[in-house]
Amino acid sequence: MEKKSRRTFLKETAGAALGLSCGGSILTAACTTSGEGSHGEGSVESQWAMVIDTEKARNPAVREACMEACVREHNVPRIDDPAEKIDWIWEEEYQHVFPDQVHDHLPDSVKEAPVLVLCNHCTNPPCVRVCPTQATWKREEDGIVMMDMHRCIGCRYCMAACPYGSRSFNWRDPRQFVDTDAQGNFHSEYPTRTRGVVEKCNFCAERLRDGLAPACVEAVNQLPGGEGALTFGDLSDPASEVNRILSSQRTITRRVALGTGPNVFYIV
Amino acid sequence: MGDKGKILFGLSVFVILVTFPFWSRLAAAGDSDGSRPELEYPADATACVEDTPYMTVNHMNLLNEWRDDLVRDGNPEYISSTGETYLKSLTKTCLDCHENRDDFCTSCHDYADVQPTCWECHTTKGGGA
Repeated sequence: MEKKSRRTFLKETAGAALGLSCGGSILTAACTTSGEGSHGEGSVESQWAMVIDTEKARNPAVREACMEACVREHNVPRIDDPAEKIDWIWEEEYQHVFPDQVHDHLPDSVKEAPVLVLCNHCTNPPCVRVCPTQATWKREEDGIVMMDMHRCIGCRYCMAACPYGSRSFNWRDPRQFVDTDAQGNFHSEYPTRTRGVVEKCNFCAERLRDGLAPACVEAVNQLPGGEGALTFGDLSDPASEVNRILSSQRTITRRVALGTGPNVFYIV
Repeated sequence: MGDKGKILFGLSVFVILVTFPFWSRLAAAGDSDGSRPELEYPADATACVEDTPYMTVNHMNLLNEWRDDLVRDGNPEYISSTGETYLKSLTKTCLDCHENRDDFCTSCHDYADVQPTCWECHTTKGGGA
């Protein structure tokens, strides 16, 4: 066997180490770039959006109608315990929905006024960034932040990441808390969830596929006095009703400074 | 050589333990005669989305494909090898014909001793648990 000098051996080892570290960093950079694309941040082909008229939704019957429609459409379990409650669309006090709009001189009637809240289907959703299994992702064709219950492992990173508290965790089997009719059937064929998964509003993706408006929007528009309390439409369509409202009225979104880009807008 | 009895006893205990999985399953299946379960086929349908031998072997893979296509890619239409178009839906398509889940899915899954988790979330037609 040919004997290497100490000098040659050191040179070759150093060269190999240098090659490895450069190659490694190039690979890492490439992986990071492709990883960002798969998180679905940034541009989407179109974006569903909702405008909530808080004045019209001050009527308790309007809020009740849309929350009830959602519960029936998606077999949402009714759990009273706030620690285990499942919420898709629900009401919160104004001061908690818009904490950066509240000052010391606002009357209690304004601070405590109920406001409808739901998933904002953000343009830049932090929940999607943190999901380790991509069980939640931003759908490119219409901008809905989707949930795949088959893939959710229940780690609840998304719940920690969402600044709006729009996600709920199933601490136990939700089926026992889902409404049934006299025959013991659920109100809807929409799959119930199982213990250990996170759920939230899906902008009624299953109804949109059939060309229907979200259940909450349909419910308020059928209610006398509730017409226009919720408006749903496509932000990429300049002629859509949501764009008409957004360009003609004063609207706000929740916690703008966070940069999440909510797609649920409020007329206040 | 007085240990013959002990050795034979030890050996027989060993053999019984090692073969336990086999004869315990045989004993459990003793209620039936071990033949395939009688499946209830839909009365008013003539064909499944694919032919029966294919569905028997591959229905689970097909359902997984449907799940990914519909949930992840938003693609609801399945075009079968005969050119028919079906909605990729367990409840709305499969159970539309196979109305009685217990006499079709469950009887065979029990026989094969598999426990699919589909029904923990998915409902039958009309929202049955």
